[in-house]
Parts: sequence; C-alpha cells; structure tokens
Amino acid sequence: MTPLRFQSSGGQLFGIEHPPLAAARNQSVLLCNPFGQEAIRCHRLLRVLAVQLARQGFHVLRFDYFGTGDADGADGEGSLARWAGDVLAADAVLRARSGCERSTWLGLRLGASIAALATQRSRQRLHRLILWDPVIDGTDYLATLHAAHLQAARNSFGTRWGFDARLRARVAAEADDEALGFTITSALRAELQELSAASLGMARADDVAVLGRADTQGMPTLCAALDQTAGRTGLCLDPTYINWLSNEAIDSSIAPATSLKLLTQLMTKAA
Amino acid sequence: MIETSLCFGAQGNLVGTICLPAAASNRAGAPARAAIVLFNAGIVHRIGPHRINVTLARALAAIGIASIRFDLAGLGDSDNDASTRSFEAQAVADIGAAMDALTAATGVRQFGLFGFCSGAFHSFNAAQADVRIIGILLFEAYRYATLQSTCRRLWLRFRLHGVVPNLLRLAGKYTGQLRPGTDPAASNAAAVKVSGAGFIGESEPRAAFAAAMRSLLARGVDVAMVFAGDGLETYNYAGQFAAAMRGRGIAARIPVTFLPAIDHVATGKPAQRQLIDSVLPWALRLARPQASPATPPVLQLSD
Repeated sequence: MTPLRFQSSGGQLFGIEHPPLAAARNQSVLLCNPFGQEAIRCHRLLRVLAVQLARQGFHVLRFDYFGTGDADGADGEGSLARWAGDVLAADAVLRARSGCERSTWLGLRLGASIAALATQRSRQRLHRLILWDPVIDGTDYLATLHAAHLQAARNSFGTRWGFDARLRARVAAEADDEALGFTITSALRAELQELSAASLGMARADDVAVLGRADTQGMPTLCAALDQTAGRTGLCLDPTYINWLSNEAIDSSIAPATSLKLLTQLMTKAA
Repeated sequence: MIETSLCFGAQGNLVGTICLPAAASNRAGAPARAAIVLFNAGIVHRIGPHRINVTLARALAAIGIASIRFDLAGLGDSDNDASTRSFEAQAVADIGAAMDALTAATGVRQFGLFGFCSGAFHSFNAAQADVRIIGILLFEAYRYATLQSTCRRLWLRFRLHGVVPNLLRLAGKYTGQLRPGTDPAASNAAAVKVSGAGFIGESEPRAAFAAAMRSLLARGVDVAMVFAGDGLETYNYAGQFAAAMRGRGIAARIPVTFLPAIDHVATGKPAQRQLIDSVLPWALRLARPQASPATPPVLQLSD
C-alpha cells in the first residue's frame, strides 16, 4: 500500500495504491468515492474492498477528488465535471504505474455516477464499469441530502430540537447550501439536477455491471439505457440496505460481507 | 502550503499527511516553536469529521504552523501494528511516531495535540507519557456532572416530555436500581447520573483526572477544553467544568470554551468555523508564545 499525490487539473489529488498481493491479473481497478458524508462513511469499506481485490491479483487505486478528502482544494471547489476529469487523471496514473492492459472503474453512490459520466470523456478503452448503488436521479439525491441534514441535527440536539425554534431555523437555512457539513454550491446543485438515468445511460465500456437493489428508483430505466449504449450490461442484485448518510454513527464502521463477496465475485468472474 | 503524504512509524504502517506553511506564510521572526498533531475522532479517518482536520491543518499553515494528520494503527489507511499493546497504549505510541515524523520534516521538537472526541482521551494519555507534548486541546471529553448540570438536564426533560411521564420514568429507574444485587456505582443507568453518583461516558473518575491534570499543568502543558452544545444531557452550561473541578486545583488554569450552537461532530459549516476559531488561539500560544495576540488574526477560510 503506497500513498500518492498526483496532478489533476488545478491541483494535486491524494491516492492510495494497492499493488497485487497474488499472481497479477493484468487488470487495474480504480475505485471512485461517493460524495461528502457518504465518502467518510464508506472509507473503511472501500479500503477493505481494495485489499480483497489486491489479494485476488488486481492492481487497485483509491483516490480523493479535488476539494475532498486529503486532496488539494477546499470544500465547495469541486464539481461533477471536475471530478470526472479527476477520474481520468487517476486512471492515467494507475495505468502508467500498473502497466495493466485492462482497466475497470468501480464507483460507489455518486462515485458511480461520476465514473459513468467520465467514460463519455475517456479516450482510453474501458474494459469494465461497475456502478454500485449509483445515484441515478440527482434531484431525488438532493432531496435525500437535505432531509438527512435536518434529521442529523434533530438526532444530535435531541431534547433541545423540540423547543429551540432558532436552532431549527438556523439548521434549515444551512441545509440550503450544504449537506451534513459539505458544501453544495449552486453550480454543483445544477449539475446534480441534470443527473438522470438517461445521462448515466450514455456510459461507454466493454462491459457494464450495476450492483444494487431492484427497487431503487430509476434502476430499470438505467439498465435499459445502458443496454442501448454500452456493451453487455448486467444487474447484480445486492439485498444489503446501508444508510450511507448516517452522520451520528461516528463509531460504527460498515463493511457488509454480502456486498464485498458479490463485488469480488463479479470482478474475478469477469477477469 | 505544502502537503506531503507518507507512510511512517517503525513498521511503516502508519499513513499521514504533513502540511507545511508556504515560505510566505512563515512570519518574520523566530520560527514556530511547536507543530500540531491531528488524528482520528472515533473511527473517522484522518481527515476528521466533515474534513475538519484538513481545513484546520490548512488554517494552521496559513499562520505559519506545521501539522500532521494521520491514522492511528488499525484505523483509516493505517495498518495494524504487530505489537501486543492495548489499543490505548498503541495510540500513545502512534502519536509518538507522528511527532518523530514531524520532527524529521520540520525540525520542530515540541507539539500540541488536538483531541477530537475519543481523540481527546488519547491526547490526555499521550501528554502524560511524552514530554515533547506542550499542549493539548480536548474537544468533547471529560464531561463531569454537577448538581446544576443535573438540574438543567431534568428541567430540559420535564420541559419536553412533561412532568408526569418523567416522574414515572425516574420512579421506574430508581425502583429497578434498588433491587438487591444491583450495584449503583457500577451502573450506567440514567438514575445514577441523575443522582450524580457516576461519571459520564469514558471519562475516568474526576479525582484521578484532576490528579493527572495537575501533573500536566505543573509541567507547563497548555491545556484547553472545548464543549459542544448538543450534549445537554451531559454538558449544558459554560461553567460546568470549572464547577465539577472546584477545589481540585486545576479549574482556574484551564480555559474552557462552551459552544452551544455546535454539535458533537461540528456538522454545519458555521459549526466547523466556530470550532476552528477556538483551536487557533491555543495553537498560536503554543507555536508563537511571544507573538501570540490576545485574539488571533481573522482567517478567511475558503470554505
């Protein structure tokens, strides 16, 4: 495991490289983070996944987009377009360092959506794209973030929330331009509002797999759209429900065995 | 600001990012005397809740203070340590390794620790073990109940839920604890807290805490404490720490900041700014004791 700092447009990004720990498969895997609190919450999960994939012979890179995690840039300086560019920069670093001929991008939540958008700008052939519980409807996602911000404050302040009208008003105002401590600029909001099954369905890769729950809003539409534009598309059902947005679960980690097993099976079968 | 990410420690298992001031940010005069160590709050990786450690590190760099933010062994990106130490002892050893790495990068040999939530307990332990530590800022830890805090807590509950339901609830709790075989001192039940018989959370008994704190203060360690306003069940007025430590020889020597508008993990942007604004004066006192103003410069945090 090696920490890296590498250049993308406008600043350095942070990454952790996991070289193969078993016979190399000549295949790299780029893991794409979710946004905001979801990225904090799933840090451990993606680290565990990276180690498991490295043990299966994959060359893995995790990284932070500009303005997130340990990367350069302040919160609020990112955008979907910029982060899609960061995916391309990270992919170039991973391809150069690993020497692998085949490349997979595996994105979780908004990271899946960003990866799908990035495929449309990539000049490199992408062997595989895995969309794990992607954010399909950006407007619905914004509403979910807004509700989560209010719910987190309600949970945190407990008794006081019930009678402190000024507190409730302040938190409600906060929720207009941030979600759980992470800024949502008007530009990012506009980009998210454009996010839909149709826009994600434009993704290009030799093979696309979607991992998620069948009852997720927009999932059938997304799969149908991907069938039209991408190569082979498959929906892999994961029954696990995870509250990716929990703010108060500071001392609880998530690394659901079911999801990790499904993902490693998905990767090893395809490789 | 210059940031470098690295593996460090005797086994190379720890991952961190060193944040150095840009040359232009190093004010004229003597270099900073101390650097700041940032690490995990609970199991949140080294960037901190809502990335506050990154924002804080860059705010420190802007006033000429270097820092490292890192993951304790087994947390975040850091691998486990091969030793058989307890988690608490390992955390102290890891903090020592982080200070070694900062010394190698900057030449600075004195340090302040920002202990966020569970990080406060590690900071307190490390300060007792390592004389290189000349300051600790403890956020949201060591919340000891007082008669006033208990009354306020009860008032809050009565206000929200009404008198009768609370009296019934308390009667039920006390009745349960009066059963033979129940040790009230060992219980974490609400009634024990209401009676003031217990201490709160993971904090050690107040006499032991005060004794250890007196040793740190005698050594010249600059201790500051900050409390958030969402835990009114455990900390609910500005003078609670001083009242809880009355007569123990420490209260007057520890500045305490109560931030009623912020929550335990400093979620909103205004909360993050308030917490950072509470940390910077302490960091300046450590790093530039001669030049430290009564109030620190107003920083324009980019987020």
